[in-house]
Amino acid sequence: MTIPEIEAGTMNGIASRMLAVALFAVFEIPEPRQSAGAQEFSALPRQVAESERDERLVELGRLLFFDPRLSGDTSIACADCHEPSSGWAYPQDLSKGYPMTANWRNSPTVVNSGFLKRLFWDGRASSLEEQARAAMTSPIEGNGHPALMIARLQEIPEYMERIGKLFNSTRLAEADIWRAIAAFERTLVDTDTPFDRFLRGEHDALSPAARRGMKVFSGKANCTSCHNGALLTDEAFHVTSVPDTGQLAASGPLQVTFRFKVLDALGSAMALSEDPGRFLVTRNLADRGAFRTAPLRHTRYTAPYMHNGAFWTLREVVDFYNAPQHATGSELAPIDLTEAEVKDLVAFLECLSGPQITIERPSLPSYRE
Amino acid sequence: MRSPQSSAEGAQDRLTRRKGSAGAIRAAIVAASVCAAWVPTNNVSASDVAGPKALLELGERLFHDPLLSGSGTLACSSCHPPSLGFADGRTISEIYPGGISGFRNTPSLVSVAGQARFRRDASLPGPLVAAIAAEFASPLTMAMNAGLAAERMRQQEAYRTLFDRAGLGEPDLQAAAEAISAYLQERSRRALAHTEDIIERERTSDGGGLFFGDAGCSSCHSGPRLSDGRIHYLCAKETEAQAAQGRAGCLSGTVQAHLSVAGRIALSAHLASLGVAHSQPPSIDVGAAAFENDEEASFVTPSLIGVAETGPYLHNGSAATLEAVLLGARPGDIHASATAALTEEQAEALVSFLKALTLPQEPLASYSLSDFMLATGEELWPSTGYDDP
Repeated sequence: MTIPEIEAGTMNGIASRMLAVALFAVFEIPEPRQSAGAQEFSALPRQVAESERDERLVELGRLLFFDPRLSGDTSIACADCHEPSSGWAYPQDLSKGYPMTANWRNSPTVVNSGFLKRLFWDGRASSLEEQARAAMTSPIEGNGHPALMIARLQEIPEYMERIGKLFNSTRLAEADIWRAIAAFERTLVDTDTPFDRFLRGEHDALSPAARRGMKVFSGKANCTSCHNGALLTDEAFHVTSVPDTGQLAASGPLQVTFRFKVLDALGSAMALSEDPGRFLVTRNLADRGAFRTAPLRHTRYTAPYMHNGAFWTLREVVDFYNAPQHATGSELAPIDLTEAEVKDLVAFLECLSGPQITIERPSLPSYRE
Repeated sequence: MRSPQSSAEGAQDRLTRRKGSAGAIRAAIVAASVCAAWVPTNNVSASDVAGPKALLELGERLFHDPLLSGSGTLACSSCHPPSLGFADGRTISEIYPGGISGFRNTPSLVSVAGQARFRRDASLPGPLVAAIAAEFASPLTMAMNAGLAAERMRQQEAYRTLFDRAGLGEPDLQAAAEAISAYLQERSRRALAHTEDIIERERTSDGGGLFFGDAGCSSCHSGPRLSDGRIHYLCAKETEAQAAQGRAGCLSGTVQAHLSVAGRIALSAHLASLGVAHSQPPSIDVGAAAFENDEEASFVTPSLIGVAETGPYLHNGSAATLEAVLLGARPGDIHASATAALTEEQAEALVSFLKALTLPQEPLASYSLSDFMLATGEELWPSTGYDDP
C-alpha cells in the first residue's frame, strides 16, 4: 500500500465525524471522560491546516523522516525507531538508542499520531513538531544539534531547492524541518480498519467472534473506561503497573539513561526501580508510574506493547488486564474473563488494524560537491 | 587494566600483589596503576593516591575516556594524543562522527598553561576548564550532554572512587573538566620547563639568534609559550588535495583553499555557534576575520612548544614540515615575508633551531576500551545516594 492521500473526507470532515458519532452510538461508554456527550467526539478529528495539506511539504518531510543526517553522528533517522516495516514503531521492547546509549521506552507508532494531542508515553509533547524535535535532539535518541542539522541540510542542493519553493527563502529555518516531518507523519493514517468499516454500517466487516469481543471490550472488560473516543484512547494517564521486564537491572547503559532522564526532568535524584512516567512531567506523586493510554489502531503491527515493551502479543496484553499485578497505585482490578471471552477480545483487537502501511525508502539527496 | 607501556611488567606485579591484600578494592588498584603511569619512577602505594596526584590521575583517565563523547567513540586523546604532542598528526582534524573531517588542523595542547584563548581563531575564551567544558558540549567535537556524561561516569566504580580521592565529590562534567585541566596544565608546565632549557641552550646558536633577532619570528612567537596569543593575518597556502578542488579568490591577494563539504558544514556550524550570520555557507576559512571587525585578523599565533613533534602545521595543515612553513610559503604569506631575506644557510639554521624544540619524554598511559565499561552492580544501581522525593 502507498501512503494514504490526505483527502478532505479522511481527516477533516464528515466521515470522521460519522465515525465518532457511530462509535458513541455503538459503545455504551460507562463514563465519558467529560460528560460532554456526543459533541466531544465530533470535535476530535483535527482540521488539516493549509500548510499541512501542502504536498510539497509532505514530500520534503518524507525525505527528512528517512534522513539520518539530522542526528548528531548521522547514524539515526526518525525511520530507524519508527520503522515502516514494523508498523512505524520499533520491533524491540525498548526503542533504539543513540550509539553507546540505551533508550528507556518502547517506540510508539507514528500511524494516526497526527490525531493525538499528547505525544510520548508521558505526554510531554503536544504536537508532532514538538515530538520530532524532542526525539531528534535528545542525547539518548538522535543527539542532533539544530545548528549542525541546518549546516548539513544547506549543503544538500535538493533540500534547498525544495525549501526555496516552499518558503520562498534561501535560508533554512529550524522550525521548517519539524513542520515538514510532522506534515509527512500526518499522512500516515489507518482509518479503514474492519472496525471502522463495521461502524460505517458494513456489518460483516467484523467476524462474529470480533463482534462478541467488542461487547467484552465495552462491557465486562470495561476497556472503554480508558480506551474510548474515536481514537480509542482518553489521552489521559493511568497507573497499570505493567510488569518489570528485568532490563533495568541488567543494563548499565539503561541505568545511566534512567538516572539521566530523572535528573534532567526533576533537577534532583530519586531512587528508581521503575519508570516514573508522567510524574516526571507533572511532579505530582499521583502520576508516578502513570502512562498515556495508547491508541489501539494499527496495533496488529506494532508489537511489543506497553511503555516498556513488556508484552509481545495482544493475547499477552489481554491476559495481563484480565489478571493484573497487585501493586500499590494500580488502577486495575481482576476481570475474570473466560478463555472464550479472552479469545473474542483478542479477535476484536486484531480488527482495529487495516492493511499494513508500507512505503519504499526514498533515495536521499546528496551533498553538493 | 591499564599500565604504563614502559613498565608494564612492574605495574602488573604491583597489581597482583595489591589484589591479594585485604581491603584493597578494584578501583584503588586502578587508581594506583594510573598513578604508576603518571610517576613511573616512584614506588607507588595505594595511600599516595589522594589529593593533587589523584586529580592528575583522574584527569589523565578522563582525557582518554571515549564515553565522554555523545556516541562513545571519541576521547579527548582521539584528536590530542599525548604520543603526538597532544596534536593528531593529521592535515585536517577529524570531527565528531558524521563528517569525515573538520575544517582545521588540530592545535597541540602541549602548552595550554598560560593560554588565555583557545581554538585557531581564538573564539573560545579561557580559562582552560571553561574551554574544556565548551568542547564537551560542542556538536563538532564531543557532542556530549553534561547530564548524561555525569551518569556515565557515576556508572563506573573507578570514577566514583577517583573523584572522591581527588576531592571532587560526585562525578560530573564540570569536575571532570577541572581534572582534565589539571592534567593538561601539569603536562604543559613540564613541556614549558623543558623548552625553557632548550632555548637557554640554543639562544646563541645561529638559528636561535635569527629567531630572536633578524628573522623577526619572536615579534609574534614571543614569551614562554613562543606565542603572543594574538590574532594575526596569515594566508596559508592550500594543500595539493585542496588545490585540486579549485582555488578560492585571495584574501588580500593571497591564495586560500576551498573547503571540502565536511569542512564547509563544520565551519558553518562553528560560525553559527558564535552567532555569526552568513547568507551563504562559507567556502573558505578566514578565521577570526569572520567575526572580528578587523579584516586582517585571521588566526592566532600558535605556540611553538614541541613544534618539532606536532606537525603538520598552519591552521589548515597545509605545511607538512617546518621547512614547508618557512621556505615553501607563497608571496603574501606572513612567513614568506619573514624568510625572504634569509640565505639558504640561515634558513637551515632557523629550521634546526625549531627542530630542537622537542617535548620531554613522558610515560604513555595505555588504556583499552574495556577500561571504560558501563557496568551494572548492586553498588551502582539503585544507588543509595538517591533520595525519594
